[in-house]
Amino acid sequence: MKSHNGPSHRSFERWYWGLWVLLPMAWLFVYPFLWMFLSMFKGNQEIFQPTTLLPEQWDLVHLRRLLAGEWFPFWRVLGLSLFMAVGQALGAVVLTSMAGFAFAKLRFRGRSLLLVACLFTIVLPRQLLVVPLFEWVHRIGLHGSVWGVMFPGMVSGLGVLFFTQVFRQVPDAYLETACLEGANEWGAYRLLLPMLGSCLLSYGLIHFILAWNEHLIPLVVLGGAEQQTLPLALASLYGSSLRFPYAALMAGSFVAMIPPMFFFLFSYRRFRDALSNVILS
Amino acid sequence: MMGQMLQKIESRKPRIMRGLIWVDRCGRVSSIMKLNIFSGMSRWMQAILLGAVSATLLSAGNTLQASEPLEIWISSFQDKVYYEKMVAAYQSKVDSEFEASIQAFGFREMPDKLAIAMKTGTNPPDIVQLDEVLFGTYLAGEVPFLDLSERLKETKLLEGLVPQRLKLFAQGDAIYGLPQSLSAMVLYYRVDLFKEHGIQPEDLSTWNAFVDVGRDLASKNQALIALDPTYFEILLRQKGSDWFDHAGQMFPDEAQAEAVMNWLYELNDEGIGLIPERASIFDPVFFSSMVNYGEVLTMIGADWYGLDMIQQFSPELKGKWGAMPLPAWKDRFGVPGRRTSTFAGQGLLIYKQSKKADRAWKFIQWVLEDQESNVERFVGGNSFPAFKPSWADPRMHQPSAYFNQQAFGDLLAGLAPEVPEVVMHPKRPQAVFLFQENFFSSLMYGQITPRETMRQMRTMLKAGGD
Amino acid sequence: MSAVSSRSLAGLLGPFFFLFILFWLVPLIGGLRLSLHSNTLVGEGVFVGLEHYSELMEDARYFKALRNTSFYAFFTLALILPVAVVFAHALQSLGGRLRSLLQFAMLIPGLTPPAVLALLFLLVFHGRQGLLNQWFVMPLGGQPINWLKDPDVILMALIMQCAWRWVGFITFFIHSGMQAIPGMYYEALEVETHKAWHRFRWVTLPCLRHVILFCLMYLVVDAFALFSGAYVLLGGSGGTADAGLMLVSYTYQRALAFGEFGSAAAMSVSVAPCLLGILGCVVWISRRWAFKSGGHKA
Repeated sequence: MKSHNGPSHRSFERWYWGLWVLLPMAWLFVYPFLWMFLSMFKGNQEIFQPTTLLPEQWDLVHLRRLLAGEWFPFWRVLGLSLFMAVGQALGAVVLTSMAGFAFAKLRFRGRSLLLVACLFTIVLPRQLLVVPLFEWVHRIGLHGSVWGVMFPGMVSGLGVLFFTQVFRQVPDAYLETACLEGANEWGAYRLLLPMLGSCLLSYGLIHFILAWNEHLIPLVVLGGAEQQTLPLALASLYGSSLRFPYAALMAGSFVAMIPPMFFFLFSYRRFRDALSNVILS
Repeated sequence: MMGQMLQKIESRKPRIMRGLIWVDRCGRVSSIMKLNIFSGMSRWMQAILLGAVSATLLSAGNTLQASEPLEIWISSFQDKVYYEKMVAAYQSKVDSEFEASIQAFGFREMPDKLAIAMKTGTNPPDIVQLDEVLFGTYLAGEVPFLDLSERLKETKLLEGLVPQRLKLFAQGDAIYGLPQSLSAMVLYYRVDLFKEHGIQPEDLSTWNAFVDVGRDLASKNQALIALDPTYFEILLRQKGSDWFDHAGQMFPDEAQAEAVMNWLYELNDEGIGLIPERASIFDPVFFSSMVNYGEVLTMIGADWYGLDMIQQFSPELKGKWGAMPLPAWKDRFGVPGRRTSTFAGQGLLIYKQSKKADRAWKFIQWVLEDQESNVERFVGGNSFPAFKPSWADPRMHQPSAYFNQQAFGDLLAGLAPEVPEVVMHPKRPQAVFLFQENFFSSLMYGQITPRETMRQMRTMLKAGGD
Repeated sequence: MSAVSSRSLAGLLGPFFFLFILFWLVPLIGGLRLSLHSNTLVGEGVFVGLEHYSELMEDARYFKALRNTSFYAFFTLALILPVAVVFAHALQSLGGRLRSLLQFAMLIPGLTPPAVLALLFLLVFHGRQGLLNQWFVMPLGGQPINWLKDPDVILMALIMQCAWRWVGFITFFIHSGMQAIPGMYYEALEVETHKAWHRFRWVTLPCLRHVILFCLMYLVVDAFALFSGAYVLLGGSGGTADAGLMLVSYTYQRALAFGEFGSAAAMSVSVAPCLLGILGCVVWISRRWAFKSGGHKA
């Protein structure tokens, strides 16, 4: 059970201590997922019995109807959501890591001012910006376009701060070596990137999840039934009428959780590799 | 720095043009799925840099075409299905050229989306389905909906719609929307449990009698009615008062408002009424627990509450529910008043700046006048239509298996003349919201007096009346 | 690195700030304008100067929301961070497969779509029938608590959902940070002390500084500027007697439920300096802390 990247101070800690703490907690964390999964099979009254976990019958009819696009063009909506969330996360990681590198490693005038400006993007709630943003996005012709959602989403002050911190941790020696070899700042940045794979991935992960569940901006900017993201489509099923089978909402949400999970599983392995690289070098 | 960048962009014009074309293609989401997304990925940075610049140029080409489909916003998925059917019927019966794009929003999303579209005047719908409670908001300042009163004059709707409902989406002489439902309040009761306790619906002809019956039951630890924040407004309106009067004064009849609040408090205090855990009779868990365990015997609700909510959430109680007119309030001479009231209900409105107002109007007129579409609304479990001529249809009077073979439609049609008018006011949505979310619970648990409630609400809403 | 060519600087910062200006600064100016105009639902209002701001100063609900939010932010932090550190430690003590599995399980709440959370919380925090009462409160002999209606516990319910949602993510980050700490640091310390607490205090904690700082910021911002928790739990209202009224939910109420866009914009703007101050403090403290513990190591 020796882990290649854990610290070697496990001798005094009994492994089951961790298990003791974590297993009951794990149940607490997994429960909603389980409940959601099992609710796919349930009828409406069954779902609203809080202590009922297991369904009366195991019938996947709601999932099938959902995937067949009975309520909304499921696959297109899913594809669009994926494209937008991945694109937004990718864009945010690239842009903010570049800015973060500049803030952490380069000295220039107005640096603190710009950094404070980035801080501002975090602290002002979206509700303030949504009306003017909508007007502006419309004016520049991005209304009803995925870019109208993705570009604003990429302006992530949190990302800039994150990467500023990350790059600060990188010893200047690396940079000096790079410069000795004749690379400019841009080259140094590109050189450092592979070393920070884990950080890039973990920020990408956060941003992906935020973008994936984002509600307000897509609601306002996107238009038309053709252009729905999964959260929007699912929310529209929640009507004032209750004839709609909630099991389909559960099925939809279950499917909606798969991409972030997959993304996480995928990045988790990379994550550890990247970490060990950092440690070994 | 910036200048250099611009210079750079300037010197690469051919690339910009390519970028433009690319963004143009990708900018349309519908086409995005057809495109190979990943071939574009390599140009990611380019797109980011140039996307917004080029988009500015592109916006010029965004013009409206006359043949575009009618944009209809519906506030629930279920109603969207209904309207899709109606559009198809309209196409086959009336206008084969007619095209409409129907969008459903979650009932929480709709007001948000609409408010922003209206505020900015950007891409609003042609027709919007809106609840009368939310409509009030739009009466502050210039009303963004089309006044239909002129158009109405030549139609059957003017005579056909229940007159009190016709004034629902109105301000002064202007009529901004037409109601879909009668929204008549009735008392839903458990037929089986009434029999068990020896209660006849006829015993409950006034609220005084109702309380007497309730006291007896309370002594046996059985609650008679489930309480909900909406009851305040419903009961106040049944008494002939409202949140506002036509002059805009809030709580025009303080004594009445205080009486209703006190009455509700006492119901709870004496155990005649029971407050659901979430203080709402619209909570699904309320049905799976209190209703199914028979903890309450009655609820006050409109036609749509019984057609939709109750049937959906307690299907196993089929045949065990009945509906009766509300018990009446007695006035100070002891004369019983009306046996119904009203609250909420959807209507159809046309956006003022709509370029397709005529087409929109024709469709609305048809949907509200057409026999089949009215019957469909009732039979489909949506609501009881407010268009009187449609009630002649025998399908509106068929006994309902769910309601113990009672002819539900007969009851509603009989109550229609008594349905009170709703006094619209720009602050009414806020009043409803605040009472429901903040004040009802505080009142019921005796943390605040009715007088104090009224004072605080007036201050919060900056509404006159003192 | 003092000499920086403006070309590469523009290359690095340009793209971000290009979007920043286009999609943040311009709308922000629009937002500021909005806050200086009257509340009209349709079209642009009349210029009213600072009226909305002075109104805010007299608005008891605004201050209630401010108080609730600060309280919420403080307690979510006080709850989540220590728990996450403990969890991360516990994870460290486990073997590979099991560790990944548990870590993954902990992330689930943060991944769950808001629409489902709304339903789930309805069932968990429901009154007598709710899971929390049925499984925890009542078996322990307590009276059922009406979590979302009793004004004394609404805020507690909000804090609990926040802790439940984010503790897994914070643990994930802290644990990743822990794994990146080179073993030689611990070995170096072993010369001086064998106490577990000392290892934690002098190696783990200082090395996790940045990670913790990031988590701290995320949580503060989540409390002040993000809407998810309060919206999902209370649907944009403040609950009984406004006991769960958050600043964002109040802003939302004013803007979208009541159509008072000007007041809402003013409210959002008014929070920014305060929040910026808090974040500034956090950064400042962490700098001092870095200096102190760095000094000790040397």
